[in-house]
Amino acid sequence: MKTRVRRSSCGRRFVLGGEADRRGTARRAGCAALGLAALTLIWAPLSAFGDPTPPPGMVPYDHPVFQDGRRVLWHGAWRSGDEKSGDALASAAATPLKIAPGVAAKPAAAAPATTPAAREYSVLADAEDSCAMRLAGEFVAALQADGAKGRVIAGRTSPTALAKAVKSDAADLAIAPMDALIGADEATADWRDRAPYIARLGAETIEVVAPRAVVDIRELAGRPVGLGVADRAGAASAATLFSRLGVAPVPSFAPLASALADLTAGRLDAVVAVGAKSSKVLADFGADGRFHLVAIPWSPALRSLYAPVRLTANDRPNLIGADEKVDTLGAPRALIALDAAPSSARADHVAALAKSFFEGFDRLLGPDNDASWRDVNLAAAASWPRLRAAQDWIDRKVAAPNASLAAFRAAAAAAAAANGGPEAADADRLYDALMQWRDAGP
Amino acid sequence: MSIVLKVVAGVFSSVVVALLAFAFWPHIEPAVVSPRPAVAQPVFVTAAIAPVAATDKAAIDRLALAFRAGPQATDAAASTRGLAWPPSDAGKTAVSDETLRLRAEGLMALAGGDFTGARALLERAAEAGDARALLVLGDAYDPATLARMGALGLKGDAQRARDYYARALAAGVEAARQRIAALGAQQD
Repeated sequence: MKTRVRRSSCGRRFVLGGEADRRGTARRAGCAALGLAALTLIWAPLSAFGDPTPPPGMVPYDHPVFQDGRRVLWHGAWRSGDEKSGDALASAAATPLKIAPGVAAKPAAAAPATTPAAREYSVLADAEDSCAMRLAGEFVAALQADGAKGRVIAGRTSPTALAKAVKSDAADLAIAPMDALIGADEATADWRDRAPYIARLGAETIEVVAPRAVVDIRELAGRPVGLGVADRAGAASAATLFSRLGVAPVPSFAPLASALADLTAGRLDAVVAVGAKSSKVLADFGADGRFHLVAIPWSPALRSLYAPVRLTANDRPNLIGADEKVDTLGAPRALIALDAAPSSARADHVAALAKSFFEGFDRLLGPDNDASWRDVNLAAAASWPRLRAAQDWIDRKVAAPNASLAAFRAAAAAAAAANGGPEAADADRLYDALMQWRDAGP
Repeated sequence: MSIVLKVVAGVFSSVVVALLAFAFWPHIEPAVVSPRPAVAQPVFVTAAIAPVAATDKAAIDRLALAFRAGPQATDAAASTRGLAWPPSDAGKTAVSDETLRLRAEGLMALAGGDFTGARALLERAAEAGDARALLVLGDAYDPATLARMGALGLKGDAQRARDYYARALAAGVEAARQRIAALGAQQD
């Protein structure tokens, strides 16, 4: 027993010498390290158990929420349905999210919410979609001028991934494939009201690369086609496109580079690239002249989901002949709010971001920003619920249509409702309606 | 330290480590391991049209039906609201039904506020020889038209609008003359 006491005494270290003393010192250091580690391990959860009160402006989750593999205990009070008043929002203190070791969150009363400008927000964009990532970055930079601090999260924005994001509080906003969202009607039915769109954004070009022997996209039915990485925005848009066209290829999911390698090796009969405008691997592909872009002819079934796009040799010199033009489609993206059901406090928080986006939109039209911002009509509607605050802002800015404009729109709606798309005669009817409105004056 | 204390400490530490391992275990999205396409079958959705406010909906419906019924009925419906206009054959050229459908699709996109889509469709119709599509293309770029139709954020292009109007006028669409004059007046 005496020996043990002496060994645990730091003073003896300087008295004893030799090999035995060095071994004893090393042992004591090891014990101390283990002890400290054990103390740390034990203290962290105990301290959390002993601190049931969330930080100011935060409330505990009532269900397990993970971010980047770590469990998040608290969140801003904006997510709680109890705090909706603007005063509460304005009076709250700015507090970052606390990420603590995994212990069960204990319910507590909702604390005041953070101000939208003070609390950092996040924009989810698909990591495989370079266009969406760029738009998200420019969005964050534009809103920074109003004092809103944001960050871009590289993740997944397919409908299945967004369904999880809505329920797991992964981000505040997302840049999502609008065609896939609208196309996945049944799959999104139970959460679409919680993910309203703020504005339709520009479209990303869909390119179908195939051997020159493939001249019609319908020839791809039953053949292996690369759609992109599984559960990503691009693959979701490609799947929606084939679904709309009524063509059922055998889907293959792989990154663009390996899909093009498979195409070259004959293992795939076509590769669909969405938003690959700046892709170097696609720009360099097809120099041997064996491949080309397959046209996607416009049809009424594509209306409301896609926009027609025409590509020339300037866009794809390796895949389009010098005098050729290839008609294809653009898959629209949209800025959507996540987990922002109508009348929720989260919707109020996102409303401030939407207002800042709308009122500072001209900042995004500069020459250094993506050209697709210049194609955005903030008032353009989609077959998807819109964030109430965004719609209210638009309604305040846009005057109610006069009778002749309303008649033109009603005539267009009647033509759109016709089975099989508009008739040739609708062209002149709609033209006359437009002329009447145009000549009627303001 | 007694053996009992050692055993208790060991068990307690193991429990703590197991708890922490459980808490920090990386969360793996099920979608990563079970990818599946987002859409299984076609779903058809009709384009949304902005709601009409502060107007006589019944009258508008009658006018829309009149447009579909033909020029004579349209004149009658319009005249009831003092909105008579001379239906003109100017710019009507012999173009294929496919081209006319493209123009109709372009006009429908224009009515829905999808100006980018409208421009692309109308350009295709214009390339196929539809002179009226040229005039509507000019409208789709005309800043005054965009403002009156409620576009927000989207900037027009007066120069491109003027170019399309000029081409429409050269193709026989007389209405383009007034548009060109109006553009000039705005710039002055």
